[in-house]
Amino acid sequence: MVTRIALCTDDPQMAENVPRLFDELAEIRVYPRKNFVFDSEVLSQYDYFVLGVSSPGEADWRLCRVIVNEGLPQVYLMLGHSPSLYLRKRAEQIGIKEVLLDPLLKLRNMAEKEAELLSILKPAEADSPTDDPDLKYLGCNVYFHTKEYWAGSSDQKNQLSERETKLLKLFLANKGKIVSTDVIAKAVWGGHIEKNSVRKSIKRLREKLGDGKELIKGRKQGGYIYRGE
Amino acid sequence: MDRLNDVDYMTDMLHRLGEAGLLIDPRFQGIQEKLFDSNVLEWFERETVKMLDSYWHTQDADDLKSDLLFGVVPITEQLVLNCIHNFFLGTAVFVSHDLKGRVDVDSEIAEMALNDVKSFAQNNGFMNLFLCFCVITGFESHQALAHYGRLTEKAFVSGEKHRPGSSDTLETELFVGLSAGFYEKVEVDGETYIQLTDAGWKRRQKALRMLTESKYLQYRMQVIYISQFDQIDDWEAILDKIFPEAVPLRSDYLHFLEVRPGMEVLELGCGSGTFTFDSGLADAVGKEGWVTATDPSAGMLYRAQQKLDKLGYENVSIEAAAAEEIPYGNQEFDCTVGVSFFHFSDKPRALKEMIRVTRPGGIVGLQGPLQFNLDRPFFREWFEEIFLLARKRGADRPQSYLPQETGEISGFVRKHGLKNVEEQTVTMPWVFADPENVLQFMVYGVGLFQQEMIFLPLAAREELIERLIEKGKDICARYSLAERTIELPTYFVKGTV
Repeated sequence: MVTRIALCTDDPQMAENVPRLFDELAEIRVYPRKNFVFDSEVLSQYDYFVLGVSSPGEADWRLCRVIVNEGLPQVYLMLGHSPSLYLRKRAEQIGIKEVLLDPLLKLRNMAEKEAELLSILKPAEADSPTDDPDLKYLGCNVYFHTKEYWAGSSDQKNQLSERETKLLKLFLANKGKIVSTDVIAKAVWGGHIEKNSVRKSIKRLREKLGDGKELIKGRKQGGYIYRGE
Repeated sequence: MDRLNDVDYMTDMLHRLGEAGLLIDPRFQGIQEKLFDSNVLEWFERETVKMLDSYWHTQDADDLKSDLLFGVVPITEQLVLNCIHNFFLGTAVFVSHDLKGRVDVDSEIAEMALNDVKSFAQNNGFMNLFLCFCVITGFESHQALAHYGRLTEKAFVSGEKHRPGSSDTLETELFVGLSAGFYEKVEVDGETYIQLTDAGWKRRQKALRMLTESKYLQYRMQVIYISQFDQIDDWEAILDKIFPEAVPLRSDYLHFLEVRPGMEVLELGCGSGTFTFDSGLADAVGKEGWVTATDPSAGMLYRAQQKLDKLGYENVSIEAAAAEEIPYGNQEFDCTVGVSFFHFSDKPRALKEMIRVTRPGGIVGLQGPLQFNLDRPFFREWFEEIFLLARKRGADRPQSYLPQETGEISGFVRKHGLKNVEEQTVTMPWVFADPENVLQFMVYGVGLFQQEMIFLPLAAREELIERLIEKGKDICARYSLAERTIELPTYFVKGTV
């Protein structure tokens, strides 16, 4: 599902650049900050509400508080400079999820010298050594190590049991195909298992995949499918 | 750095602990151990020693060894050992409940529990696992002392009142509590008692904040709700007695929803399949339609599957799923619905998920109980002790997780973007038939007094239930069945995506 973001700002650079930067990742709609009218029906369509401002005034804090109190969507503050401790504290008190930095400014800050600029533009080193033949990429930044029995990323590994590993391998081998509960029961448990235990085991496996839990989807008529990314 | 006193820090860690499924309940530790196979117990002991070796008997353990709990008490090997062992046992019980609906820890479940605990320690640092352990177990002892006023040293260390079977742990914990200034010893009639100091009362408040703000207690309570359902063998027989009109009421709800033939319906919290089969959902969608019935409870899924096998419907599938994380793609269903499940769920997350999987123009429907009249004479009298517990907490009546009125739910779904919202309020008789039955339903089934009982020490909780059953016998003899019937208000709500 595409993340939907309402960006409320009067900064023309932010209004133009932020949606462009995250074009593929999110659906960003820009609202003018001046005279912004709070409408819970409009806002409820968004996952995030980002208020972009160089330094927030009382009206901005009020707006954030109202949206936080309404309970949706999550509120972020995007600044054109690094926030002071006071500002962070205040944002936290109101219930603002996080204080963000204008992404372009962030890039500029990261590269004060030309040499640094080039190093930023270089492709990132692979997070995990992809030349490890036992490390499979599942999608959603989640890896699966078929020998070490874990799923996750290099800093968030969830250890899998032998059966869970077998189950995940079965999905990988059948990428894009529907796998029925019966097939899973036979392949992973030799048939000696109840249907509901298969179901519960898959629920658990999905939880172990963390950010990748949506990679294995149920089919409403029964069975499961792993599509990858 | 004294992280145990840092509310924000510990709240964050306990939240992660809950999300990782490490939901230990120290009150049950000693009892659980008896349920384990000796092979599994030995395995856990071996793994405990191994984990101790890699986090304590190692050169990198300096930060663990040099840290002082609450700034004063050094961490001991015994405490670290207890922490690891308790997490293995407790997590195994929860994994078993989750996967099987009962405590039956075979080698596979044991392996999963070991993995969960090790993964948490690896991902978040062992120190944080240990600090969480200190908060959770410490709170349980503070809570017992708060409830009883004071306990003899012997009773405290044996854990007979609050944590039976944890005696090896409790002696060390007593030492920590005394050293940190949370407990004090008092002599009364030649007997040594342990009681909370002012600092101890404050510590209890702080730990309570950490455990509630992190939702750790809530997660644990949810697991308990679900597993309690699993424990009740004749759940349907109990329900039939208590709500004799539940099936027709749910049929009315089906009409209200306007489910039509050919629709693809997702049902959440299907339980044993009362709404799916008995009230006619599977018939309403017809041969061209489809019902995907889901429930998070292993025991309920088993019962629903049995019913499906017996009745032979070919347009129904069953799946293990929680409402907060529905394992289907976006916009897959014409109608997403559930009866009497919403109050057990994390409401905003559940509703968002329901809306996500429903097609534009499709129906999202909810049905469930509302708060009922607690002031009926028989009810007041029967559950007087619960009212007293509530008053002790500063409330005038037991806390209820049920919505006040239908408008609360319809307003909530509107706020989340549902259109054409319609609502209806109906009532159905709730019969307080016999004491055993009522207590099973209220305490183990729907956890009605859970909010009042969750903080009770184990023995006190059991004794209270016993007394309520006894009291119930007297009530049932003195009040007629009609006097013991409450009209339970129930909401019907639906809207379109």
